[in-house]
Amino acid sequence: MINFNLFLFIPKLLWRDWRAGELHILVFAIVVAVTSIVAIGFFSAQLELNMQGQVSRLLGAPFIVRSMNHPLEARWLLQAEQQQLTISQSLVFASVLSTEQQLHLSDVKAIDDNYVKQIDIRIAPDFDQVAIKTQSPPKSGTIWLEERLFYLLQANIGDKVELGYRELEIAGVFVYESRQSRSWWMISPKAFINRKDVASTKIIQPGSRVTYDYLFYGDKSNIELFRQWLQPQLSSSQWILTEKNIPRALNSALQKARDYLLLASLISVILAGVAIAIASQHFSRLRWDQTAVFRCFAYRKRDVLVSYIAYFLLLSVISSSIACGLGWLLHWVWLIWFKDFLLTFALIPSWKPIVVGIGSGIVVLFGFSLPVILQLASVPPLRVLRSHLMPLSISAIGLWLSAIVTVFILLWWYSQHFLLVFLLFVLGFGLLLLLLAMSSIGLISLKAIVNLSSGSFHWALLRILRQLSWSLAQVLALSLVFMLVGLAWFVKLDLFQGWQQQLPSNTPNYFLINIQPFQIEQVKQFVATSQINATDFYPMIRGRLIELNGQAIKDAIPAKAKNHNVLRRELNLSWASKVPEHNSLVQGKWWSDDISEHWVSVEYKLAKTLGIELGDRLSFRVGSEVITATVKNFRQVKWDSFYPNFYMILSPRILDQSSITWINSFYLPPKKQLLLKQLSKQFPNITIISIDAIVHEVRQILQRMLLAVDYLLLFVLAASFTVLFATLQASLAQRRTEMKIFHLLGCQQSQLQRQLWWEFLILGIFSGILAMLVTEAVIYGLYTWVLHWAFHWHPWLLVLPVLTVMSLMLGVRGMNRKVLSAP
Amino acid sequence: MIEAKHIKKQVKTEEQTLTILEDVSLFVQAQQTVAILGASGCGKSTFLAILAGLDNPTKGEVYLDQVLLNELSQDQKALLRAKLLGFIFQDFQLIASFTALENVMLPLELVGNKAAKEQASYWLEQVGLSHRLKHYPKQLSGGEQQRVAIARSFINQPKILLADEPTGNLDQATGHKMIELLFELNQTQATTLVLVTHDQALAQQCQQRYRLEHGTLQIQDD
Repeated sequence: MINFNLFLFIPKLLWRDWRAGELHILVFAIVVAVTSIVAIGFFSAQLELNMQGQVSRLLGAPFIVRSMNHPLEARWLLQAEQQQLTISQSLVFASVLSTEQQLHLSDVKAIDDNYVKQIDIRIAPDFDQVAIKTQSPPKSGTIWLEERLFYLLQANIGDKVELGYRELEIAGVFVYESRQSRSWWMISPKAFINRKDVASTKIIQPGSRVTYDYLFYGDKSNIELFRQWLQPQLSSSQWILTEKNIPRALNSALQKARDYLLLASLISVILAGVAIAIASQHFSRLRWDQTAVFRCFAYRKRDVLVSYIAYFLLLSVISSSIACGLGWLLHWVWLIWFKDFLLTFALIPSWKPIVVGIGSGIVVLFGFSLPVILQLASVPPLRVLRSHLMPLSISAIGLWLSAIVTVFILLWWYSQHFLLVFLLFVLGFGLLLLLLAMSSIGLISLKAIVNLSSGSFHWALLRILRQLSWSLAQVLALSLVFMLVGLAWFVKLDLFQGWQQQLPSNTPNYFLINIQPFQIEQVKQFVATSQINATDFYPMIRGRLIELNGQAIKDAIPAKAKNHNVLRRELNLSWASKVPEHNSLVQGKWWSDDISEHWVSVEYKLAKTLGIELGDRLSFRVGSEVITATVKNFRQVKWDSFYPNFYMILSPRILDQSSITWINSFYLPPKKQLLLKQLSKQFPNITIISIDAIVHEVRQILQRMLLAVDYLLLFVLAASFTVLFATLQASLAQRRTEMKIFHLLGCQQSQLQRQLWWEFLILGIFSGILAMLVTEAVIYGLYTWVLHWAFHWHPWLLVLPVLTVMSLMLGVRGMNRKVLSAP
Repeated sequence: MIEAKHIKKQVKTEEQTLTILEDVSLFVQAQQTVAILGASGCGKSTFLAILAGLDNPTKGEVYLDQVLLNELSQDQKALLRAKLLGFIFQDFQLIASFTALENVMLPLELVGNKAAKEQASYWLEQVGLSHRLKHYPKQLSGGEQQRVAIARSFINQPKILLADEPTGNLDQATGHKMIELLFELNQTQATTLVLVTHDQALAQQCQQRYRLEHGTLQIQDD
């Protein structure tokens, strides 16, 4: 039976312990852990909200459904309206525009009132005039054209053009649209008409190729409800546009930022957990006598157990609640701080970070201190008479097991990825063993120099060796802490560097496509005389992958790859005599001059997905012709590089040269923008795709991330200093009595002080070097198996041992006055 | 009130088995005061621990208020202690983070007695520390700390009071005062007192004195 009286007594006990200052470090450790979890939670949610905002800005709406060739069912739209969602629509079809002099194929986009309210479309009233954001779609009976269409059609503002059965008046020059969904990068020049005019053109007939986009706006929860309702009903030609439909550069930047957020929060949780483990053991030691008195007076073993569980529960709930407030406050400060950088400035109306925070607080405290509670329950009451009687010693295995299970549960909970966490654990466990082995060998090898040493250094060495397991625990804790700090720091640096490399200042911001073979020399000359920083020119032709080793492609590939996008559409095929810029060979050789056979180079990830091997034969249908080539090599492609990239590159001279076009990309600084006009005037058939807006968006996102990540690092540092503090406190408290006895026996204070310094210097050097080695190993494992980033060496890790020693010395300096105070 | 029959206590160490108590029997009547004398290490405290149910004898039986301790579980013994026993220790065993008042309240708080505070104030007044209620043990002198411990030992109005070298850590004058206080309170509360000491003067105050030597207990004649 449980003694319920103790539930009344526990809050009093907690208050008395707090008042006596015995709980400060433990509470501090919990507060730091939970604060960082809560703040990071809010902060991730905020970042996610901003990313989503950015993504939906690029896509055009928080929820978009694309339907090919058929409009969505009217009852679905009715349902959306009933759920208070605003709908805007656009439809795109290819059609010929004609004037009296010329005709040209163009992509016509029909838009409605709602569309222009939500999407930033800029229209100039005439050439050489400033484009402004339009508030309404083209008036019925009018059309807006992209600039080069004016040249192609030899038309001017006010002229008439024919579109199907309808005559429309040209009313403006289309300059920019904020929606950047990938499939809207079309080769044909663009034209905009009012949606009401579509029917009168009589172009759209059953079987016409039309892309219908439905953009839904409204309350987030209503959108989500609608999405859940709609999704199962969509057919195979209808799908939801997601962030996968935004440019890859953005997508990969977002993903990397998410990965880092997760990593940083996990690191701070583990660190805080270690701090709690150390602090709770220190706390428990102080409780032995007290518990013996309790047991002597009235407490049964079970009462002690229940008491301390209740005690720790109360402690974690109180500390976590304080931490939740703090975490929220920090997130708020962060919001104010970065107000100008944020897309949406709003507090997260979510309880999730709070719940996760308090939950983690409880889990971490119990996970790391359960063995300590069990130990307290084993304090014998007889200790009141015999102070040498100890409770059962905590089994090291139990302690580790409890900590490991806790961290495992937390990591699993945060990452929602069982296998990943499991692998991390196997890796981590191996690492820990390695760390243990290395520190044991290191410390034991100190024996060799004990006899050669003298003075305080000698005493310090002796103490380390006499308390080997204690010293080992210290080295393990310290190297773990600095390893994690190093990890957070250097992964951050790599993240920054990667982003900077991804978007150097001369990142291409324009693509030229549809360059005809007869124009290629002229365009090259234009680029050269204009001193534009351009990439190579690549030939391009569209073809469909139809066979693998003579077997229909859908039957020849693994089942899970059957829905791959590449099989559903025509691919851009190219050929080259050398490896393209920003590509690297992963497997196989380049063909160089070997044109004995038709060769193809395949993008590595695609090859893996489709199960393509070197030496396989791939067949493509290009127009009416079928081309077969042997796989010669696999390439790694940087899809986020803004350079022309291809899944398939063929060896030269396979394709009929007449039906190809050419592509390249270049960087045009703002002051040279006038060249675009010249270019489209001189070569009106060439499509100029501006990705300036995307590059700008990506830059902005990256800039925000950098700030965010820096802020995150503060938590990691706070958590690590808590561990350092807890370790030092536990370690210095333990030797307080010892030091006093030494002092009584005539040891000079300065001598004792020197010994203390030496001891921590030796431990610091050991931990620092270990931390350095292990950090590099962990970074290698993390990049290779988990994050899939490119690994490189980090010479700056040499700073880690110095940092370790310095912070340790500062900590000792701060605390040793207490230890060495007069007996 | 207390009856110990043929108590034997052996302790096994790695090398040998030590016999601390050979064959010890004791009978203490209600309200009697008994002193157990003996040199350091003769097993006085072990015997006291066995009487309190804190330690188990290797052989023999202990009855407290007619309850046979040997048949009780550790938990039952704890409950019996809460009801029946008060303790005074050589090193006081005060809880450092508790004030004097809170230390005295403790035995009642542990069993959920709501009058703990009033009772504790009353007992601290009885031991002359009403002006020290809010002081922590480290702010009190040794004598004052032991007085807090005495107040604590009486708060649950125990039938039996066990004291282990109550003056062991005090100077002679303070020790003397402590003895006076202890016996005075003992008399007014009609408590059975067993104290273990090597202090002859303290033992002299008791109605019955025993000497523990070579693992056996003998009545000491003066």
